[in-house]
Amino acid sequence: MSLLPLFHWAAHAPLFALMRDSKWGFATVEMVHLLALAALGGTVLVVNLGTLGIGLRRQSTPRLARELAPLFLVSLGTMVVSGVLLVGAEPLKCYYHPAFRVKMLLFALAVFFTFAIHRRAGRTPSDAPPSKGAKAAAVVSMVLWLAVGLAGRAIGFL
Amino acid sequence: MTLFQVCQWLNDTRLATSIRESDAVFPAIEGIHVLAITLLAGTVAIVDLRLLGLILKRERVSLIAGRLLPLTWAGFAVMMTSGALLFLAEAAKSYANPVFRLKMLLLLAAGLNPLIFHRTIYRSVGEWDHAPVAPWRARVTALLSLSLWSGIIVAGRAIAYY
Repeated sequence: MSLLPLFHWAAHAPLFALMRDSKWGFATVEMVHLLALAALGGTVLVVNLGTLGIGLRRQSTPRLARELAPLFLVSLGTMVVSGVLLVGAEPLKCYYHPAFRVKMLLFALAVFFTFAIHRRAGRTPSDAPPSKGAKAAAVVSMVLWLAVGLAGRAIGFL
Repeated sequence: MTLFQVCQWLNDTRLATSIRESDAVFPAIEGIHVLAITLLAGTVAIVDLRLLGLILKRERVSLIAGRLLPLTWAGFAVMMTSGALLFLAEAAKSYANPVFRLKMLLLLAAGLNPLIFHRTIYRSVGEWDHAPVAPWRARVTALLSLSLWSGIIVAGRAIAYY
């Protein structure tokens, strides 16, 4: 099944009219997208670097990860909603854009990795040093989210 | 030589011209700039959220602040270097851009904020290091910091629209 009809529908959907026709609609949503990126990226960096022993103490990171989970989820949700609106401004350009396709693939991988693997790997007792698996998961998580960001940047100029 | 003439001269240097005229270099530096901001603003925000008593309440403020500071400086160094290159490439245009000027003012304020904080309320951190919520003056600093950095990120994106 192709997703092309969905993108064709979006190109004419009244829902996205403001995003298509107004410079400030797009600009404002981009700013929100970027603010959420800072929150999400900051959370991912501080928690994962902490697991590797860089920055915060290793013992602090499991609790920090738990306490920052709401911020992570809110910024992830904000990124998805603002991201859908940005795609709504130029759906067909995105559909055919290689960087957009790569980004969506990486994003799916990053989300899957975060919720299916990383969270489980991080569940070690607070006082035990993180296992090799938890450290590897921290590196993979940072690389995946970094790649999502770089692919996103590439949509704007490739 | 006026400030505008300095900007114009920077704008015309060979380095500035080569960044400006390359299809890939300018956006690549922009990407690095944004990623450095996530490190800088992310670590700053963790300390701010601790001062506000929203996270890591059982950990000492000075321990969190001290351990994150090297990361904040690393993010700051990359952000300033990449930002300087981006400015260089568009120095003449940036000079006249109202949002660029606003961003520089916000950056100045965001830099002064921790300087004042460290010379005033933070001096007595020994008295409230273990407190789950920091004194009100520290909380004001934290709120200011979060607002200023958010403003800097938004203004940075808005530069391209003016």
